[in-house]
Amino acid sequence: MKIKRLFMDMDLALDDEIEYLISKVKLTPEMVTDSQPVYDLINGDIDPILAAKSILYITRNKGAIIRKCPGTSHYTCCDYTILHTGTFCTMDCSYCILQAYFHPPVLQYFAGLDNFRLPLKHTFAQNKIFRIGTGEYTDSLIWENISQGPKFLVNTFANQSNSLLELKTKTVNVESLLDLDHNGKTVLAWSVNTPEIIRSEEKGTAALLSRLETAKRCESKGYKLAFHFDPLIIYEGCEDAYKNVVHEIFSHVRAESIVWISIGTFRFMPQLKSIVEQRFPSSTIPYGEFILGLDNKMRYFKPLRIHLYKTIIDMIHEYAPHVFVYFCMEDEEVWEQCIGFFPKKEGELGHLLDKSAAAHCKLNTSFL
Amino acid sequence: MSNQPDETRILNIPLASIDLADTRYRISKEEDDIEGLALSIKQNGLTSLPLVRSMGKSSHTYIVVAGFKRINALVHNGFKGDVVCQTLPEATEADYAVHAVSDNAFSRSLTPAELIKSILILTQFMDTNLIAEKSLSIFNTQLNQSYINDLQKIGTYLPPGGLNLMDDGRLSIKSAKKISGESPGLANCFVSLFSAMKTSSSKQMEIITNFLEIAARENFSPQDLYQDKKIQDILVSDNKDLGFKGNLLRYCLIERRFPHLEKKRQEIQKKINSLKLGPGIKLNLPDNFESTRYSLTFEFKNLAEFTSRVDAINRVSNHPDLVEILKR
Repeated sequence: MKIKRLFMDMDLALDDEIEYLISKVKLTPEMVTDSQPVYDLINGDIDPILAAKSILYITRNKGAIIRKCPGTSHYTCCDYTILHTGTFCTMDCSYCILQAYFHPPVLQYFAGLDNFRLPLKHTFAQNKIFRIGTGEYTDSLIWENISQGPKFLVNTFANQSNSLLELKTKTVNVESLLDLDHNGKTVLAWSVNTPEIIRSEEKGTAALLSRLETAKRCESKGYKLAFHFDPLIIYEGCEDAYKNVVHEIFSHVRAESIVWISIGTFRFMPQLKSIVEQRFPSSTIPYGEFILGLDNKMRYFKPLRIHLYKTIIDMIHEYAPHVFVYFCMEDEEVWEQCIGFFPKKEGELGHLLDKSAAAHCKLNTSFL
Repeated sequence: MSNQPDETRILNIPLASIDLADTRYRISKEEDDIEGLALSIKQNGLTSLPLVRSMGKSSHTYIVVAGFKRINALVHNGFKGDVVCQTLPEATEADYAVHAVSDNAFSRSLTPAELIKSILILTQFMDTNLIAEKSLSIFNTQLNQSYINDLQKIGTYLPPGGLNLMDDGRLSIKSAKKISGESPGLANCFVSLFSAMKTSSSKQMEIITNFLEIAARENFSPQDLYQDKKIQDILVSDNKDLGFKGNLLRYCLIERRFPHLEKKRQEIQKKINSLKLGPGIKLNLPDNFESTRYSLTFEFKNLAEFTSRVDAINRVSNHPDLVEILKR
């Protein structure tokens, strides 16, 4: 989605980073003393969520820059660390939880790359492995072609040995990253789905094959890769369609380049349903066989989840028996039935991922 | 609305001059049985005067604003003379509309259909915000604007027959609002559907939701689903128990909306039944089979019952169906 209005905090200095961003957006920023005018503009629209996708607000992150992923109760979390670079997204996925998570969602770009230096320096100085991602509250690379942020992060992570940076995206925006000396510390990750779901539910995102072609380019530049089958959507014929996605992945990149693959079926806060119905009337994804999960989110009936997981994991293991596959937010029964083991101890899944990160990205294994 | 509409004038009006066919101010349902009222008027006369409105000096015709039943009772009695009525010479059409509503609302609680008809009459003369502001003096209760908007929507779009269902308690305001938002064809299907059954408000909403979602899941129109043989068999069955028909339809839709979950539930229930746990013992399944946590509860009044329950539980501990249930 094209940015139509640009707002900026009045107290932000016009440094290189912001000047670069403004020159790329090609809009004169409207200066504001606080976020209220931005919120008012968005809330005044008939579809605030859609409106918010074309209104960029350059501001400063007033909260924690680095934070632990909140996870969810009753289901096993991967102990991820979030680097908070911005919020919301210009793409328009029907299932996107950010539509219900922020009230209203605001497309914020957190300016001030210098602000990242200190918390990252502190993180890099610790004697433990960190897996850090920017793709929790936004897509990691939506601003790649107008911002110096991703390049700055790749360069910063290149000069340390205990942290992996995961840039998770549905775009093909990698141009500024290809020739960087990343030192193997950045993993470029793609959310993947079937072409049918990308066409019908992931408006404004890159096609599957474009994502995979881009992954291949990144691999050729020495980047390690990750793939996230999330959210898996259950529909007639989905098993074959997802098997084909697996086939396409391994037709494009080598198994050895893949640090991990995560899988998770569509789950959502109940309030998302009415938003999807209203904003995407032709979407049928809210009408799957959902039950209320133990964390009060809607999830597919468990045997359906298990069946699809097994299908995809079997296919992945046919191509790559040793690639690390894990579930995002699943319980012991699913792990046991689909993978044959369950990381029961607190932090065990995180530790397994740390090991894979260390092995692929040459992190300091003495921190494991 | 005029500022001083309430200067009432009492008139003797020939019954023949009252146009009973003009029911623009009628809020209450036409009663089949007015024998009691007719008898009361015959014996005691009119104790409360109908309110009428002149249709213009030249026409000498009046229409009823409030008191339709009283006038009809006079007709029923074969009365031919002059009727003592009240009228408001200075009143505007809007004033008469307010009187038509408040005459009913201050004498009893309005039914849902009456409430909706009242809103439709009033919205011809004032917006819903003003109705909300004046609601206490018109309806004898405070109504908020959003509720009034909902009622207006229902009144405008609910197909014929829907209001009667509301008065019969077979269609809640929430369900009526939902139905009114659908296409006329589909709204008609829902009115027919709820005409054939009786169920609670929450179950009505569940039926509507499942109906729409099944159609979306299976990629055909809800009208086609309405024609489905299994659904029609339930709706047209001879069973007079409308509550039973409501439950049948509800389960039929649940089975179709959640096929795997319901199949599993039925399979497990069969296995639980085969355990023959006996009275006072209950095996509780995890909600929707999401968790792996089961529980067993039993009641007892004395030691003998306690021992008997424990024996029954011990007896089934190796039962193959219990093993199957727990194997998932």
